[in-house]
Amino acid sequence: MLRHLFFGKENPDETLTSDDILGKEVIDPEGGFLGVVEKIHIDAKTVDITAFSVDKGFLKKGLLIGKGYVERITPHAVFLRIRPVLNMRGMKVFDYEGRKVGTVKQVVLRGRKNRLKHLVIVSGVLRKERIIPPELIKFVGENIFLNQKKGDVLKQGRGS
Amino acid sequence: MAIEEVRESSLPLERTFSLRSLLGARVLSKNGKVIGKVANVNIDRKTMKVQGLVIMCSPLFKRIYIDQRYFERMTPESVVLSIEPSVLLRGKKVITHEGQALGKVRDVVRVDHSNTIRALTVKPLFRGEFSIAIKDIRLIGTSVILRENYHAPASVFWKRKSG
Repeated sequence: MLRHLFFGKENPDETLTSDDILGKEVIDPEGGFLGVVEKIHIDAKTVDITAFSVDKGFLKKGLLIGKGYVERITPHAVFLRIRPVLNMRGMKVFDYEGRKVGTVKQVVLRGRKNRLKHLVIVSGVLRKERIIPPELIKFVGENIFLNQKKGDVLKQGRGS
Repeated sequence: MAIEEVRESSLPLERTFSLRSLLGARVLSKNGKVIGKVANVNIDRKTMKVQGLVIMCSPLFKRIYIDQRYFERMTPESVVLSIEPSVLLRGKKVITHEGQALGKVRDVVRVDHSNTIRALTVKPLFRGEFSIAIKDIRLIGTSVILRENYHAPASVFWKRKSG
């Protein structure tokens, strides 16, 4: 049994411990499983939680998600309010009519936020790299739909 | 060789494409999921208009028939649907509002043959299956997320499906 020593009005019954969060599944708003919480990052000065490290699995690069992107923490999972744009890596890119334009090789962000600067896709047998700006993206679901026809996209998409 | 056109009110030849070119075309759902390839094009005997497509879904060679009303765009290379076919929900994970995994979708109960879902049959691991009505589903995305007030029937945790 622990004895509580609280300075302010904090209620010990409403707090979570690191054990409650570590190892929990991280779920995006679409119900996609991103991985499990591996670490909790704390601001050394304010002692506030700043971010969560997400382990995406064996040989996969982890993800650091800021506290602001967390919608809620439940007894079973951590729900995010965003779908990380970094997850677009590996998605297929189709034009407006469903013709395959390429596959996402790299996702370039604006700073460290969940905002897309551009996509680098590889297309064709020669795997030529092209840049797709966010204005060309119509919809992101399981894969990506562009808002133009393939010919127009390949004309606009500069080689990187 | 040039083709001489004999027509009255139909579209000019260059604005049409042959059914043969459609065979093998890629079929994409509204979300961009690659569903499979066109295996057959079905035509109404009376009106001679395209009624739907038989799609061969790649991994298990399962076929589904999609009504032409669910087509959004069509080119000789691909067909984009205006829906996410509900029959493809089988195998999706079902989670509660709190993120607890209840099991996977085993079957989809639809309104007749339409794409409208009436209920989902869920099969938890090592437990009997149970049904979830559409009103209890909050979102169907990568997983099926249930509403906050939904509680899985307690009996499913120990009872086997009867009959």
